[in-house]
Amino acid sequence: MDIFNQLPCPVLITESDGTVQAANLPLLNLLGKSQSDIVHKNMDELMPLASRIFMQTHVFPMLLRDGNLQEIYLKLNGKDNLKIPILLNCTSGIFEGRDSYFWILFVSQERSKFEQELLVARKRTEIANFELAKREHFIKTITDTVPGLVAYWDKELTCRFANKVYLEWFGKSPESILGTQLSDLLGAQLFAANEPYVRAALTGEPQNFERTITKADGSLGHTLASYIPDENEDGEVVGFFVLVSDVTSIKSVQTELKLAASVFDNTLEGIMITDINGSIISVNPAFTQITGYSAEESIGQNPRILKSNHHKPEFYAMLWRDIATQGQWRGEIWNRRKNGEAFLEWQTITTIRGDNDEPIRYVSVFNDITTRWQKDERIRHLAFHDALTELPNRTLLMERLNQLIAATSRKPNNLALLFLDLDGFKSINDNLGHDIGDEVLVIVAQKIQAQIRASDTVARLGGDEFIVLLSYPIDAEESAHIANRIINTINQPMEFSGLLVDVGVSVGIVMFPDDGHLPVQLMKRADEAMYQAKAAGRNQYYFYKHS
Amino acid sequence: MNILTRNNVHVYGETGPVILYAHGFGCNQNMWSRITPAFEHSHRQVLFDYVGSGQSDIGAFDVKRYASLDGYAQDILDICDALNLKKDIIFVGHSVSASIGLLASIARPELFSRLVLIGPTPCFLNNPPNYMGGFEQQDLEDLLSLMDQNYIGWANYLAPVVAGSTSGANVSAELSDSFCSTDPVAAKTFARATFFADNRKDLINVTCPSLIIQHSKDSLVPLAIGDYLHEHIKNSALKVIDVAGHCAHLSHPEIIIKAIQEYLSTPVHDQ
Repeated sequence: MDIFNQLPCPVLITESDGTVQAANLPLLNLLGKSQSDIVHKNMDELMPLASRIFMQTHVFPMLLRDGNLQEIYLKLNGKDNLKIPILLNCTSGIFEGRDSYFWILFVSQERSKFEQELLVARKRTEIANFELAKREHFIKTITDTVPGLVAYWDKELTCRFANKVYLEWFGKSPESILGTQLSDLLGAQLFAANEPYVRAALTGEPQNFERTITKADGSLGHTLASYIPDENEDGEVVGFFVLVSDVTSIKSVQTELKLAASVFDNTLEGIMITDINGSIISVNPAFTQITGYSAEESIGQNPRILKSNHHKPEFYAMLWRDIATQGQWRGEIWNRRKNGEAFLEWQTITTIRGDNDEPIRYVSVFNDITTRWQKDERIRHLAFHDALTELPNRTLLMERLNQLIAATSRKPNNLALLFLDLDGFKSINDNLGHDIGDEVLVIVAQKIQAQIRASDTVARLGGDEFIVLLSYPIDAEESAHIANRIINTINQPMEFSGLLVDVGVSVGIVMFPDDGHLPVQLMKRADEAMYQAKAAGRNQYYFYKHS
Repeated sequence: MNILTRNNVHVYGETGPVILYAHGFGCNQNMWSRITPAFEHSHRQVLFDYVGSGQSDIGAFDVKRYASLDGYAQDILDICDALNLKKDIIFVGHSVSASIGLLASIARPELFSRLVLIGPTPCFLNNPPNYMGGFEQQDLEDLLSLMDQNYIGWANYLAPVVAGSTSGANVSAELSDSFCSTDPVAAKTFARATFFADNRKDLINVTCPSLIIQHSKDSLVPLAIGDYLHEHIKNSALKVIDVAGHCAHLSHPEIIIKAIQEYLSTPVHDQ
């Protein structure tokens, strides 16, 4: 036992369940107890609770499995409520004939103090690391959420950071990109193109430039890149941040916009855009050319500045009703130019709707079709008129005759039809030439027109035959009176370059409804009466007589 | 995820009723090596390590899941399902695994026929005046600190901490394997789940017949806890064994074997 007590460290012998069999003097001194205080008690009782739990959950399971253990850190209850840190070694053996454990204790007061400090330092580091990790995670979340490319390259042009979009763009994993050289990532060609910007950034000059890059998936991407130098505390550039925005979609929108703008500027159609209140927002050059109003004069105005008096309010009401119900109106509309001249346009008005489907704009696209309309009018005119005298031709005459006869069924009325055939016209043509002949016909036409009302009709059937249709003669006498006036005025000599030309006219007259009910019948009978006038000696009128 | 690999599951024996052994905090399935030989001819025995303990797949460790005992109970249910065990399982759990087994039996009562609870306690903390689990909050904080000092070698204290790494997988490889649980994060998580658990209100929901084995001199579990559990768990039997310590299945395996055999041979309605 002397040796036991003289050992320079505390020693304890217990039974296999921890019941104390013996303790040496250094241990008893350490605990401030006597042998009898602790023998037959469980060694647990020498320890604070935390150490007891550790004994039960770790130390005994290990001892029971392996039979020994080393350098287990625990605490003992010392004198004056002091908790004494100890390191514990243990091995199993036989003591006084029983299975026992021999425990060697090392008091590690000094060491434990340092270790405790280390532990505190480690805990602080852990907390700091945790905070750092949280912050890094936060920053990573932000940079990964940013739709642009974010990266950091050090001055050796080694990648130190790349966000999710950057990785996706280059088809890299986070592990494979870190440490990559910029030249390897970009490839020789693109690197060569970017190198001037890289060098400039590394001298501390921020760089901004546009670039078209082939993406990992093979598609072309337009980028807007910024290189932002990173300086350390000494002002030395240690790397640079890369911010790249993928402007591919903006570029294509821009291209489309350019195209649309070019169409807007160059089309021959006038284009006018108004807001929903009808205030003009935009007009194109063709608009100005057609209407005479410049963009400055038009913008802010109401399209009413173009309004002509050709259409009744109902026309505009219908136009707006179509726009409201169908979103569109198209048709012909008369407007007025700045110089006051009316013009006809073929116009399409379309409603532009906003994101919520509510109307936000009206777009009016139009052609000036005035010239075309005039040509059409001329063709229409020629179809119904005599080209030489501009008088209605047979077709129009018959149409009017039909209309007038039809009107008498609603309102009984007299009509008179005068069939005129010039006397001596053939000799004018033969002796003086067709040009004079034509001029005579034109003058005759004017002379006849001067003798009748606007509501009456003078037509030329061809050659030297004319028809006068009197819409509302009171009776045959009035018709005879008008025929006389016409004969007299035609008999007045006409002068052509000092040459006097005389011409007579024979007139056959039929009365509706007395002399016939049908247009063809009336024409035929007037013709017969005209021949009777000729037979009676020319240059006189003759009423149709039933034979 | 292969559950059998994840939980390092071993099945011994082909026939007979299934005994499923669940180790306690700080331990692993090897702790049952002195018990299993007694049942090798009569039972099919299933041993495993909780995720984070023993030779389990530490990569499957999830701090959130294993922060409460429900996560460990789910390990047990996962294993039963992976082995296609449907009923009549005899569950043997030590220390905290007694609580975990109770939770598993509440979740899936049809799986278990009997529960053998060695050194159980529903709550380690004192909740005066009605419940004295044996420990104050500070004792348990001190334990976590002791674990830190014992688990992590001093070299590791000085080594840089892997920032943001919470799995601990990178660190664990360098740790001493002297303890049964070798991952410091998993061990501390398990320690917190174990020592700060309070399952007293769950006891009323236990329907499976159970045997409570209480050590007479247990420095972790006061003697009165056995009575408390017996009083609050339906169909429970209480056996106090004359053993000092908390690991009778290691220190006195013959006592535990005998207690189990006696219990299994007693019809449930006689208890």
